[in-house]
Amino acid sequence: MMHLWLQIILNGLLQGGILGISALAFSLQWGVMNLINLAHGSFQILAAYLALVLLQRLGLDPFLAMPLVFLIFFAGGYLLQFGIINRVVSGNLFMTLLLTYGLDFVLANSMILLFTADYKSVNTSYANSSWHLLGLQFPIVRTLALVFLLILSLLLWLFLEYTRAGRAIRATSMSTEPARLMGLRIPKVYALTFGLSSGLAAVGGIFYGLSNAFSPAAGGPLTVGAFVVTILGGVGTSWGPLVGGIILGVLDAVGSVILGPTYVNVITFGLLLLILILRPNGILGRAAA
Amino acid sequence: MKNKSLIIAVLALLCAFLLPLLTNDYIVQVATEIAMYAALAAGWNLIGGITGYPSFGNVAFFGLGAMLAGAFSVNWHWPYWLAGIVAVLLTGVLGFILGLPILRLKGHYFSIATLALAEATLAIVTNLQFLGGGKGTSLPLIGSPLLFYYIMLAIACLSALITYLIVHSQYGNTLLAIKSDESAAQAVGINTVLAKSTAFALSAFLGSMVGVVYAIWQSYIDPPTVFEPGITVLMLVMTMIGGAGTVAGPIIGALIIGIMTQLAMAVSQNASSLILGLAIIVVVLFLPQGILGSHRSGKGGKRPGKHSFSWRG
Repeated sequence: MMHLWLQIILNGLLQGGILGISALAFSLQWGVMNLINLAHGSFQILAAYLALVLLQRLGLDPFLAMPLVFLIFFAGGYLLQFGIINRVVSGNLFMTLLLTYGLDFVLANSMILLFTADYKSVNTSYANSSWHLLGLQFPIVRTLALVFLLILSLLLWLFLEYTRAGRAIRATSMSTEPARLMGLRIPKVYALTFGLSSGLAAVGGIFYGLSNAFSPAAGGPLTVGAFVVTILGGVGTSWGPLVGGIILGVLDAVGSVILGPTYVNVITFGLLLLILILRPNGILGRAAA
Repeated sequence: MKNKSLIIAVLALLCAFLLPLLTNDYIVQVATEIAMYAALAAGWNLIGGITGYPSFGNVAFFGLGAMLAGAFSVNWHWPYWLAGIVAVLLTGVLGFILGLPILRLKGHYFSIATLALAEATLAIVTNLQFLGGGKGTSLPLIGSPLLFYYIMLAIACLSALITYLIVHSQYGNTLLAIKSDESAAQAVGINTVLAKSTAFALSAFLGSMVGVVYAIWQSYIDPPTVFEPGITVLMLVMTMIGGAGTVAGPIIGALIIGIMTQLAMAVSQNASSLILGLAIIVVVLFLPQGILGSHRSGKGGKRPGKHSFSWRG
């Protein structure tokens, strides 16, 4: 019995890896540009399809394809921000929500036209296998996702803390006007930020595609999941997504065993509402002003 | 100016009233949907457009109205009109109570909280056997398509009237003050909590009323359909296109999106949603104030140079 519970908690913990990578990208956009990207989940699903196509057509393993997919999404995200999102990002908050929603509509429906609405999965030899350690099962993909989340969080933190480009991003996130007066080109900093987070979202999407069946409609729930994790961990922190991802992963896993799988959404959204009302800046964030 | 608006309103109403005489069933069906969305968008406009709190969860009230009325009439054998009235009143009260904590949040946080509210409501409704659970509810087939057209038209007119009365009242000025600068409104002694929650309750009231009629019109409802997040998005897109905070904005928006959707579906069934998405992007980029423009534009979340969250490492 004890053993069963350990396995359930472990599953939740490892699920936190996939949730966390997704939230890392989401939180970066939000923290730096005050931008909520409602197309976030569709970006991830698109990356999963790209990994699937690369595997089927070229026989390229998803992990080997990861750098390539990252670069493609980085470039796409950079151009999208530079050409379109920058035009509204400094205006009314509501407009950016509407714009990214429209983008989500376009992406999701293009994917339906391209790949049909059927469920697909990225089938590799290791997709459904596990490592065994101490009598517990460690599903390979999810375990690697958690490891990747740790590495990516660390890399992102180092990048933002110690490189020139990273400092530019942080300066802009604190206050755009002084950053501009110091000679930073805000549109380029924003484009770099969006490119980076699109690349991260794509990496998360590949992990999602390796461990779940997905369809073009899966983007919405992924976006909402990233919301919840970001709020749980606190907006604009390098380690928040890790903390938030693990909390949500474990709560969902334990909750669905105790209350039944149909109550998972009640837990997720009930928790989100409670945290928003009681501690709007998240668990790691500063207390509400 | 005022006379001109009145004449246009009367003419439009006359056209809407006579429409079924001149056209076929298909047009009446489309027109019923347009009237329905005009009423929903007007309800959204009260909280999102006039008060400046862009809700992403208004579909919760539509869904609750439909599911509650269905449950009362099926489980307790109430006549449908009674079930409907009780459902609408309950949803309105719920909107007021939920508004108290949620309307303390601002900007993105408010939008996300309302999104979560809608999803949580869907999840709870799906788990309650009384509300039909995940299976949905079947209602008796009554009335005719024409009857439902006139009912939806009446609700759309009622919501426009409510909006008109609010915009031209002291209460409307209070809401506008909240939208422009909430702390200043508070400072001059306005009870902002009460004013905002009342607007949210009115919004819930209208949404629920449309839901009640929708349920009996369709005669079969299930939670995923009546809690579809896309319905909220349609409400806000229509309001934005027509002009947020105006009386006619939601109606114009519902007409444009309604007709455009039909045209897009005629071109290609598959690509119609894609076209809608592109339309949203074009509106945001090239028509950000809506067709009626927004001479009443408040601050509406205009980003300050130093924003409240930043990267903290």
